[in-house]
Amino acid sequence: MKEIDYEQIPILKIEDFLITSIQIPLHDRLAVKFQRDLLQKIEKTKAKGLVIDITAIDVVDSFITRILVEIAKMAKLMGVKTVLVGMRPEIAITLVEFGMELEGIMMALNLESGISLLRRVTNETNEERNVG
Amino acid sequence: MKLMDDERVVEVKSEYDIVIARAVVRAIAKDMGFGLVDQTRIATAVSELARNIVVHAGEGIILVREIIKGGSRGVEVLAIDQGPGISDIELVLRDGYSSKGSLGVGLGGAKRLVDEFEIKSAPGKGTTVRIVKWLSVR
Amino acid sequence: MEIFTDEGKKILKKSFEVLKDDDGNVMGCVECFMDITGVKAAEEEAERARDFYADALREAKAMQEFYADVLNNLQTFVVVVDENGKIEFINDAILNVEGLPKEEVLGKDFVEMYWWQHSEDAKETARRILEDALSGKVTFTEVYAMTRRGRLIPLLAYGVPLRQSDNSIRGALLVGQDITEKKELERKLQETIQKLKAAQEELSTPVVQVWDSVLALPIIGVVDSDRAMKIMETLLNKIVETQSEFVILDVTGVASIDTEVANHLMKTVQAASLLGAECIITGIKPEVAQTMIQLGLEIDKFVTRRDLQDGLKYVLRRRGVQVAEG
Repeated sequence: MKEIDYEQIPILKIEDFLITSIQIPLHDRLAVKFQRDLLQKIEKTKAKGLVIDITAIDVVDSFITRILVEIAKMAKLMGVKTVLVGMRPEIAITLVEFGMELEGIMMALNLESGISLLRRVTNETNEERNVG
Repeated sequence: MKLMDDERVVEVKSEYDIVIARAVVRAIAKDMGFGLVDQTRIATAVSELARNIVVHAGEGIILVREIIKGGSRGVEVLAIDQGPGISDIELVLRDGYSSKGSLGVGLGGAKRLVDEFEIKSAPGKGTTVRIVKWLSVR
Repeated sequence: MEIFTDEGKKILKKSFEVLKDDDGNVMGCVECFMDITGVKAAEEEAERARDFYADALREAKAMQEFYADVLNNLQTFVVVVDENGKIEFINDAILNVEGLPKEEVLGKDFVEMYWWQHSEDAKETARRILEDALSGKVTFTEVYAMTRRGRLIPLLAYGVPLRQSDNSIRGALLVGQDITEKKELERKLQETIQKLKAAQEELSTPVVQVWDSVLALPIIGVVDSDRAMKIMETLLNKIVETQSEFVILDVTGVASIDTEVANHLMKTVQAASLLGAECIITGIKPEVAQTMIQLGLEIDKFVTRRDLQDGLKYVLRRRGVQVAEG
């Protein structure tokens, strides 16, 4: 029986950035599809930054952490910076106690600050490029 | 094992069951009066235990129940599988240990989120992980 | 018939004896009088004794019924066991609550009853109460008993030894009082205490928004592990609630901290950064500074300033606000 993919995580474009919000549980197959979709969209839109909204996530275990870290690394390889927004306080506390590091990912309070952070960071890179 | 009123068993066979196990334990913890942060701690720990079952044993069960000891109430979760077993428990609990693709902090990190943590495992004999979180009356 | 002699009243029994001759012919009769005073007295005595014992027996029975009634009407659960811990009597309170037929319970082992099988702890406690009572000790303990339907009832339990006339112990009276209400009150009390504590903590942990997107939290007094945890949760929730990018944690009022508190502090800083907020710690006292370095904390994970004022200046500059040096 062929499985039809009903599940999808929407990815939107705002200015030079991609915004995505994870609202459903990310299991294996969906996670891999998500990563692939993101990278394809980055290439297609020539986006400079990626904002991942995790406001709807109520548990972040080692698997989710790995997925997020991988996304940031894959995006970086393509020249794109990643910001995570909307983490719930209890998730923050648990993550710290758990000992998981979210390396390579920037953090911001919300979509707006996430985008201004990306703007600042990508402008700096542009300036560096112009100077050098 | 006789199931009592406050016991729930979740069969874990796939990724989807991990989500169910989390929801079940969170609901029980919430009913018992655990605060939001503790609910998250327990749910995260159970997520790791359930994932461990799926990744290493293929299938197993998660048993959640309320326990009482000396006037304190707590939630106990048992993760039981008949998988290949762990030959070096020390190693698995060490941070940074990684096998079969998981980030590795899994069990060692889960230990830090709960009050009691026990693993019984041996090669070929399956694994049972027991965690307990006590309701604190501060 | 009664006659009166100089020896007092005497009772005589009159009887007729028929006289027959050798051929069986009735010749006449003789009136005989037998002094049955003694016998009568003895009979009366016997009657009195019988009455006395009948009364005593009746009274004893009435007492037994009375006590049984009392025991059965108590809301308390009462079990009487013999010296081997086997159940001899169980009051109606238990039978009615459980819908148990007496025969199922009598003779069974007290410790093995299903009431205690729900946990090792309960079984141990039941065993201890029994053993204490049988050895002459009376101890009060709280224990949970499980009903047939799986409900747990909190009991205040104790055992009293039952002695024989020679003072040896022939069994025990085990009593269990349902303290569900008491426990409920206890819980409510705890809740109220909790609320008061929370309110007190709120008052002693005031998080103030000092600028757009900037929170300040002056921490004063003794900080223990519990309080540190509470501070962390309050602060993180406030960060999300107000969407503040900067938090100034002023610890001028904290004289010293221990390892646990220091770790909570670091956790707070890390967690805040995961939310997207930056922590500035101001007013670190010498002793606190020493503790933090000795513990090997990663001090480059956060910005520090001398006091709240300096901290605020730093934040404002970061936000692009012109600050005039006054």
